[in-house]
Amino acid sequence: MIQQDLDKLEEKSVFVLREAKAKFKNIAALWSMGKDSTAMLALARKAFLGKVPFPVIHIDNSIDFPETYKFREELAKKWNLDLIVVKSEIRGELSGFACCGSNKTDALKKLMDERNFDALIVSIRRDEHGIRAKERTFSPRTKDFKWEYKDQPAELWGNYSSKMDGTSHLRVHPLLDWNEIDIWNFIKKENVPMNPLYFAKDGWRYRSLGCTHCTVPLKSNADTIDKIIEELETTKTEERSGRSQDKEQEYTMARLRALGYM
Amino acid sequence: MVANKYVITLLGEKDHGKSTFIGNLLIATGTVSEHRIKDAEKYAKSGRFEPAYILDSFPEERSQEMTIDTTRAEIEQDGNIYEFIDVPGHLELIKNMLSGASNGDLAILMVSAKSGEGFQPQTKRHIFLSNLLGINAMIVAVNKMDLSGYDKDIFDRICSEVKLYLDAIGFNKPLHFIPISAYGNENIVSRSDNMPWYNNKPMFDTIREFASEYGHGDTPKIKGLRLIVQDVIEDNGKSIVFGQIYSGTILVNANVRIEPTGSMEKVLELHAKGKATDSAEAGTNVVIKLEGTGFVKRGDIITDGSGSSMLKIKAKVFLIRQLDVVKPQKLVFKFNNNDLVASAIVPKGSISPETGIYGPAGNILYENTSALVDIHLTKPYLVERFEDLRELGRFGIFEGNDLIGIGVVV
Repeated sequence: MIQQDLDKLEEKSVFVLREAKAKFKNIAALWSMGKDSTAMLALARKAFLGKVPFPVIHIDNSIDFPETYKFREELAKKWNLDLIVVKSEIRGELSGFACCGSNKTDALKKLMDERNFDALIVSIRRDEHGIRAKERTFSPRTKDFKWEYKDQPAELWGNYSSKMDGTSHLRVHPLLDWNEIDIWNFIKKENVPMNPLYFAKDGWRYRSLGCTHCTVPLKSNADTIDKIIEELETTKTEERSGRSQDKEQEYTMARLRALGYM
Repeated sequence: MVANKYVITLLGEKDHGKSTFIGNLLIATGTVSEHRIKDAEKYAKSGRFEPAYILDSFPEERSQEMTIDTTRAEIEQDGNIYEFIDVPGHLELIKNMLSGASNGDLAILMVSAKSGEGFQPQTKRHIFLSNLLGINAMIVAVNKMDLSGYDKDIFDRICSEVKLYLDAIGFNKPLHFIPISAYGNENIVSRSDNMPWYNNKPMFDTIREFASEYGHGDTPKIKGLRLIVQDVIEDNGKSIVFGQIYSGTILVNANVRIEPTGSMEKVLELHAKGKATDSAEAGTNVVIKLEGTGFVKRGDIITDGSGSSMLKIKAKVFLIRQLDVVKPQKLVFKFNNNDLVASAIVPKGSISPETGIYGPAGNILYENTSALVDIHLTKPYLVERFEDLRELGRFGIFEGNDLIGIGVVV
């Protein structure tokens, strides 16, 4: 992996975040406490004079790592975040399609009904997955939360879709152009606090963080940001290879995302 | 080390091999993991793996063996990133094609040499559109040479058809022609033994050469300040303005003009890149503080006094849906982040995207045709000619979220 021009990436993403804020009355961001959504919040602070000007949502299935919960509390306090924690109802399987597809998405739907958010900022990146590479920067979801991926609106330059009849909300994707290594360069440059699980301990580290049931660590000795960047410069392993396989297959991802998954 | 990033868009008719080309290039350069290839293999309809599946990741795209929506894939080589934008070739999916192609600096045109395919009207439309949107250079790949006997005469014939068309529409950008087989990996990363009559470099080398010479965006000719306002917050009798600079420089304490009202204001404070600063340049997002409130709003443009707002815009448009200019319709002309409304659209002439021939214009602008029009706005707005400042010289014509056409200021 090679680094992109971070300054250019940041400027583009700041523009997107400000468009989202200006265009919609009521927006929120999803925060998984992972590296991407945390980097996005750091960028929002740069974009909005030092403060994250929208609520951040954690969909909590109660099976995240203890380190993740601790990190959530610490950063929410430090950055004065308007944190909304929604407990997802645990039904049936606690892994893969059933878990991410209904447990998490249903909880999000319920919250969206209560709070009427027009737009949700989601920190996905194009390089993560073939399906995510097909996303628009502003991507409408239908009333029943579906991503109509076979009929996406046109997106030209800096002019993004608005909320129309039949749209429940728009997903806003400020980090689509970023690659994994760019996220880490940004974290390094801005000294963004990070979940400790990303750093190697006894020869293992989490490269991509989900919940305890679907994520496994990878062999690594990268225990600092510099070493992580070094590792990414040469690795041939895919970022999400530590994620539950049934979820990562492209069709499963297409079904999940059509249903409202991130 | 920071990479140069080059953005290359694919053009051409459906089934002429755009996705197959990128797919095989990703494999040949070792960009795609075994895992992703295996995942794609599982869904091969005929049991045969198609390299296009690497790009076409929607279930429907694989089962129908067609690209539905645009996607992007990067290849890293020698410290550079080559980003390929794949687009659908189908006529009815031109809005998705534009969503991708509107971002490219360079183009690769795929023309199939297979009997019965050749240089198609849809291919011409793609060229016309990317020429309208200011592509810098184009590589014409004559594909499926394996299915046309590696015949030099067929290659030459297609090249001259393409050249004739490019002359007709006034396309005068750097060009290169190359015979390939995307499926068979011939003349892609290495020279093919089957076409000894082609004694030039293979595709990937040509792409890299073109990228380093012509792949660096466009420098605006407008030197004056153009700052597009995204949002305004009132704070203790002052206006906090969020926006992006498209051209020129803004300085703290400088006097600036708000368009279209013409109000003159002094920059009290300036923030960029997360901190207070004395000056900021094109490409930067800024926050500025101005004395007083109520004189500036989202969509306004802040200038250094150069340029002025106008009620009439002269434009060249391409319609992807028929437009009757007499019929009242709720159209919006989306310039950057601003939605403009027209009181009248006056056709001045038509242009055939298939022949480049100019003709008279009627009140109906037909689907998949181009026209010169005068757009009379309900409120004055500051635009620039596309060739002077792209960001303020190009627009989409929308009805709701539906794209009707695109245009550039001439």
